[in-house]
Amino acid sequence: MRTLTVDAAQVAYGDGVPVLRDVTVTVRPGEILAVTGPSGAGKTTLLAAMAGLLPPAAGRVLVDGGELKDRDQGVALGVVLIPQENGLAAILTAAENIAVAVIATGGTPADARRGTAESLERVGLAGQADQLVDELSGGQQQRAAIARGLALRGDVLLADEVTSELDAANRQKVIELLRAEAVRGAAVVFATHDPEAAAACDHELHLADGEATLVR
Amino acid sequence: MMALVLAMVWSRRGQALTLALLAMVSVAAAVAAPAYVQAADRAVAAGQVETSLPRERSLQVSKIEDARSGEGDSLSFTNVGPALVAFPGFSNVFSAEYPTLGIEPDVKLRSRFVYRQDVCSHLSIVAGRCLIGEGEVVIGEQTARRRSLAPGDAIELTYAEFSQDPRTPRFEPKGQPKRVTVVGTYRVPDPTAVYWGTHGYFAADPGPRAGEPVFADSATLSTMDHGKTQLSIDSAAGPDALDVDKLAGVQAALDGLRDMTIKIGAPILTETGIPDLLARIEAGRAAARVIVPVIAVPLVLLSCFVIFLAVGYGTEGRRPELAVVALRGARWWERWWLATGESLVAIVLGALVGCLAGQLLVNAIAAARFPGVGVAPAFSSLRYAPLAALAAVLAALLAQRRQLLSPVSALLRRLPVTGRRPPVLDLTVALLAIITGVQLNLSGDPTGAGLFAPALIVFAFALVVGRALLPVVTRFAVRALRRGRLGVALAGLQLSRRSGARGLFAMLVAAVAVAGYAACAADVGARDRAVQATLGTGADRVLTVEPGTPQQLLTAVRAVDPEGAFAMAVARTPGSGVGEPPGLAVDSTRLATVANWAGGPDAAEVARALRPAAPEPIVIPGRDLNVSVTASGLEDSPPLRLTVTVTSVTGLGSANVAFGQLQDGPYTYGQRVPVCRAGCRVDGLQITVIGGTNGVRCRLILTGLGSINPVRAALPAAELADVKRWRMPRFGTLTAVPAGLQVDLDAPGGLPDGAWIQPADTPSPLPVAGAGRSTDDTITGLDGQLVPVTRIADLPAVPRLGRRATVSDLEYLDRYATAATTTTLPEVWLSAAAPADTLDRLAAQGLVVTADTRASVVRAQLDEQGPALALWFYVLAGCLATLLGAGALILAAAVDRARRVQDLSALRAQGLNRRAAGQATLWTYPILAVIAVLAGLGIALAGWGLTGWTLPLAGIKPAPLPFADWPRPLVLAAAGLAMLIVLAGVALLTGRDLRRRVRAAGVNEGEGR
Repeated sequence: MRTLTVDAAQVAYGDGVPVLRDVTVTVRPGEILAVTGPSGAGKTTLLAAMAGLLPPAAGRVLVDGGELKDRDQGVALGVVLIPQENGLAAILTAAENIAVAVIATGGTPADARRGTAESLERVGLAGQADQLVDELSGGQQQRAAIARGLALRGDVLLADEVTSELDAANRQKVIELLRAEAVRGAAVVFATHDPEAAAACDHELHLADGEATLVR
Repeated sequence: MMALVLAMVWSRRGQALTLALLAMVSVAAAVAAPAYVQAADRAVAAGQVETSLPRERSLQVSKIEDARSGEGDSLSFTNVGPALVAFPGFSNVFSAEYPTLGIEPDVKLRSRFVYRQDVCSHLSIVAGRCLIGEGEVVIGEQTARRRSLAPGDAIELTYAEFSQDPRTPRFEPKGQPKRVTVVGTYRVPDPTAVYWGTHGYFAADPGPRAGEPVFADSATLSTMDHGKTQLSIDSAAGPDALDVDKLAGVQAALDGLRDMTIKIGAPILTETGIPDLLARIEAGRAAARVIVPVIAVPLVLLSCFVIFLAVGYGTEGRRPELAVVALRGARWWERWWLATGESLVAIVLGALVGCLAGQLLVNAIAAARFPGVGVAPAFSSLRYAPLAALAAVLAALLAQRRQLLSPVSALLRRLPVTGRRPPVLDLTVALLAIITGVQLNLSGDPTGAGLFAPALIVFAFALVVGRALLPVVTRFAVRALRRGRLGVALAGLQLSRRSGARGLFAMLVAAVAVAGYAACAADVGARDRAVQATLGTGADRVLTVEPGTPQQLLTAVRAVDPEGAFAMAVARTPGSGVGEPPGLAVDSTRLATVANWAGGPDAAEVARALRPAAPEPIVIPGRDLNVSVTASGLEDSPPLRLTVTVTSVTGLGSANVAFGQLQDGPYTYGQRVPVCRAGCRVDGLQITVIGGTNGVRCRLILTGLGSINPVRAALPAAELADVKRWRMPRFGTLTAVPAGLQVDLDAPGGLPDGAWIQPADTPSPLPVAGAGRSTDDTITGLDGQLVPVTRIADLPAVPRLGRRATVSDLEYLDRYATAATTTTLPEVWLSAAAPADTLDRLAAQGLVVTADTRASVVRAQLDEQGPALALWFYVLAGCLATLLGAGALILAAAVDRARRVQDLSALRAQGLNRRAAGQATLWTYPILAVIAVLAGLGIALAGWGLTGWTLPLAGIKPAPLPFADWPRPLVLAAAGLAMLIVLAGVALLTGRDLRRRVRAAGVNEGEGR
């Protein structure tokens, strides 16, 4: 299992004004870090940088001490991202979205079948496995994206606002699933607005006005 | 409101432009079809006039007037003729002629005494000069040489008429002689020039002599005492007289001439091939008018289908916008106008441009394909434009039907309502395809409802295939995913699960099918023309010659080509039996090397089977024929006559040698037969009854047959007596006796046609090869008698005659004939290996060529005929259909682009590597192109099999030749490959564009921020 470290990172889109400045935080295996802050504070931006999607303008993102340079490297290092907008391909069913991701990250077709079934079961979508993404509700799509994240069994799990469209029961269930991932040994980063959800995490990094403050 | 619609058009100008272009193509296709037919009308006329024979570009009006009876005074031809023959652009040549005696010593031979207007400018004077005044004549150089005449000699000519008494077949003088002076001798530079009309001045004359009239001026003919004179006007078309725009005038003038001659009531004779030319032009035009619309209909339908898809895609994207319009309570016409206005404006603008584009397209093709002919644009080309525009509008409205009719709640849904809908469109098209297909099958004529059958059948198949292919592709892609092949799986799923996938599939398949159908027609048409030119002509070159005996024809041709490398004598069997197919009699020793063969059994094997070994003919070695017969029992029979028919073995002709009444007891009959001077073949011995119809019963013994001077028997005695050497079909039996061949005649009913004893120098029954079913065991021989035959090979077609005909060996058939006959339609067939001087060599052998047909010329003529020209439109339609398919691909790719970029970027973020993402982007539409080409070609073949036979590709009334039913696989494969290259090329380009956009978007395009 791997440790994710953000070291004095400054994150910006292109040559624009930095969204985040001088962010330093470390997430160790078995821990859940909540990233909180108001809308536009840069939660998604920070997770994109952690995933390798957005290289920091300054500072570094490290996985087990090695610098993360791009998303392909992030995938290779087991950095799994559950995006805020789910990142599901509309032409695929829920199960196919998961299977594609499993196979794309080095799993065998058998792994994909097994992982797909298990993860969909865990999020309560076993009955919707063969439905196209567009045929799922917003909440179901979000759970399908979570199922995909679980199926990948990454060393680092980045979950971006994954409970925003869920009801209370499902929200609780997802938090439990994230905890289970941490227990498995993954370093989990969970961006959320929800104070209760944040409270359930081991640490909290609060973002505001481009600054990051480790609350606990 | 209009401003709002225009603003919408501007804001989505890309879509509007696409729609306008599609409407333009649709209307252009509808305009191009009639415009092309008009252009083809002109090109057919120009091509046929260019390749016409001289007799088809001229006419001759003639009348026989007798100056002595005063006939010429009333309605004189000199006065009436020019008024009759007033064809615009034609030049007239007046002529007069009557027969004269005075040059040839033989009274059976006359000299044609001819006045012909402006003759001197068409003669090449070899000696002396041409005509200047009255009393002067010019004669042919061969006549001058033969009769030892020279310029300055005086000759006396007398008007002559052919004797009406059959006992004196000769010309008799019927006027006062006139002394004329030979002032020159001539040669004719070009006897086939239009100027000479169809008088046959220079064809061989009896004698045989070269045809060389005696030319004089009008006054000389008039002042000589003469009787019946043939007066004529030859009217020949000038350079522009048969321009395509003037043909109607020529037809009107012909009609006027016919009406006028009927009104006048005088026996005026009109001879012309112009009606043949006009009929050929009309037949070509009629074929083009039938063929062109058959491919225009599916092209217009295809355009409408693409419009349907394009509008459907565009409207689907505008659903939220339309929902807002509906939500705000807009009145129904405002809602309707806002929904459809954008499409309608684009379609109307596209249709207007399409009217011009269609005509310009045809102009460009006509300029390239029919240079110098012009297209004469006419507003009639636009007659189908409104229909095509209306079809485009209807397609657009049909595509928007859900958005127009759905309630606001349905419009507001993020996803359209899913679920199975009844396939109304598919069923409607299938039903119409069945109805029109049955109509076409019953009528065999692709007009009326049948015109729509090929298009509807192709589209019905395409819709079914489009519907059936989706699950197949889905299964294939899902299976690929299960096997871990992500690139292929994502490409396939993108195809099968995209919105409107079925329509896109069907459209592409239909586009390829239409182009494939066009390719089928073009190739089958080309093959038909090749069959017409090669098999229909019979050989590379066919010379029609003046009739003679078969042996003369065979001898002459074999003398020209002793090795049998390039020339073959050919004649027709009379074919006069009830239901008897026409027959070809050929010198089968060279059938394999000369004739164009239709396939089936090998030509050389057929030739060998047609001419199995047979006893040599019995040949009389000298001209003094000698026959020894011992007759007995004649007292019980009416008087009998012995005749021997013989044919020269050197081509001198045939003769019936009548030896008179048979004498009782031994008797030798002798007679000099000129045609036998170099040997002649015995065709048969005939015993006939002299008067009376009583029965005949007697015995004859043929004891000798040969010639004196040299004294030589035609057969050794033992062979003469051999019954296997002879054949007697009826009225008696043959027996070998020590004295010779015994013939026991037994004809209780008499001998109406005589009893024949023929040399058995042919196989019997005679071998024939045939095409078409026939159970006949006889054919009509060259002498009109039935010949027993056995069929040795079934052919797909007999060269020249086609699918129901026979072919036999000319020499055997000639030997089988009991009487010397002249050949019917004698021809000399030449292969491509024939030397350039073959005609001279044939002429030296005494053959007079009257017509010369080359397969290459026939092919050139066919290439300028209606069907061939109409098929160029098919080439255009094939290209347009392929382009429409490519356009639909581009459109689909453009519509899908945003969503695909989003999907693939999202998948990249989830770990999909570059290679798999690249495969998914690059392979999607090429896979579609491959499937469409394979399925489309299959549908094209199915559609062609069901409807192609109704296209008059070989003309409205084709010869009975074995025309191709199917295109050549390689040609179709090449056409498919060309389509695949275009479609897959476009698909690859769209894929590369998508890959570039995915890369440019980065892997986080699908993520929120």
